[in-house]
Amino acid sequence: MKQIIDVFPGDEVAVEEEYMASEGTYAVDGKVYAAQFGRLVLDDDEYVAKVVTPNPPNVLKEGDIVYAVIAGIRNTMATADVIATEGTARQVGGETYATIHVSKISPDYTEDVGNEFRVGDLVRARVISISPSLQLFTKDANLGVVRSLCGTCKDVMVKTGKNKIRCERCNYSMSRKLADDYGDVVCE
Amino acid sequence: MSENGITMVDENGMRLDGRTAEEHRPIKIEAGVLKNADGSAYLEIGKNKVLAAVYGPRECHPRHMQNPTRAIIQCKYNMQAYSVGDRKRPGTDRRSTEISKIISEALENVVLTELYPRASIDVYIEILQANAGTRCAGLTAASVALADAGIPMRDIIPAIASGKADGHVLLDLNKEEDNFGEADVPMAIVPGTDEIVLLQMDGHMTREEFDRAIEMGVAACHEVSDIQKDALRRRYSAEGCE
Repeated sequence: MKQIIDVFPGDEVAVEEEYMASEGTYAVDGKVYAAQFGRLVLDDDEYVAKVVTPNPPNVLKEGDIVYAVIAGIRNTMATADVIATEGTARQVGGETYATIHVSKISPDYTEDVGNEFRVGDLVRARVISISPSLQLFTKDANLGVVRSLCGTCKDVMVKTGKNKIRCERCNYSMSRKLADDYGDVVCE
Repeated sequence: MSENGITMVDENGMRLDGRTAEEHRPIKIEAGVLKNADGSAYLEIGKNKVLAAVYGPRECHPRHMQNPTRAIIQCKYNMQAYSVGDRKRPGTDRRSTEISKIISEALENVVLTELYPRASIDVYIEILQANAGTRCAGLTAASVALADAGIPMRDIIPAIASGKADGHVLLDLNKEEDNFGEADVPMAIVPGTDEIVLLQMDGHMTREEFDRAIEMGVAACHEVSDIQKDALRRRYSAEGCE
């Protein structure tokens, strides 16, 4: 689909009596102006004026699939730093410090968070909350650890069974909440 | 003839490069020239060549510079060693630090920074070739790059210099007019409201001359604004986007 670029930042697009400012627009003194360049959408159901821009900043939303590095393990949760969003090369704007509650890690009962994640693991997760804090979810089959390094020798751990990984060099096995494509993810 | 014996405006009101007093140098802007930047622009005005790149909003480093209520704009203006006649010593100096500061402050007036608390929007301006008026060229390119990056902003800022040389108030001074002239007044405006977001002056002018310089600059900024919008329009009409 070819988009027609029809508004630029600063263009007056509506008045607040008809449409409220929304994504990509702002209001001053009752008038609504475009804040981004792109295609103007006047939504007659919600009564909002939006601008759909071809190159939006990457701000996390509920439902986004993200990649995060586990930063800490607590009794009831793991903390993680979000480093990338699936489907865009743009860096994450805004909050990146996330938590994964013990109840949101695995579909099975989680006795100990340390048996599901370890510090430094790269996980694929879904954003389930933005405010008041960033919360992630890894219960689905395609979510969970996608890459993990051995704590002793830093070799990449190999998947040996369901939620089991093993370091070939140290001959040491551990459990994890693994994503179904563990080991297939290429880090660029 | 000016005080130092150089004629820069002839009896017909024509300047050394054949422009009238109210004419700016030819401007060419291309948006989206860098693959890895979130937004970018390349600009030529006369012999000036400028590249601007925008990254972000992204996590702000160093962390102590984060503002919990809004994003900060970190601008880096840099002149390449080969951009001027004599080789310039590479790296930051007092001049580039000052220009980086005034450009980021000009941009903070229009970018809706409150949408991205704790984030940083990084603007890099590289001067590839300089011929007077690079801070205005840099700011003009940077605001196109910001718009290309999809960053919400109140308006796209155009900037241009005016000044005085050989006793005449002139628009968009070139190198000779800048070096041997009497005054230089770079300015940037918000075209929607005509607010001034950047204004500097070096040299001397009377109040009347200054008013005339501002008037010429504001009129020229509106022309530059149209060229900026045209660059963005061309960027997306050519490739078409999903």
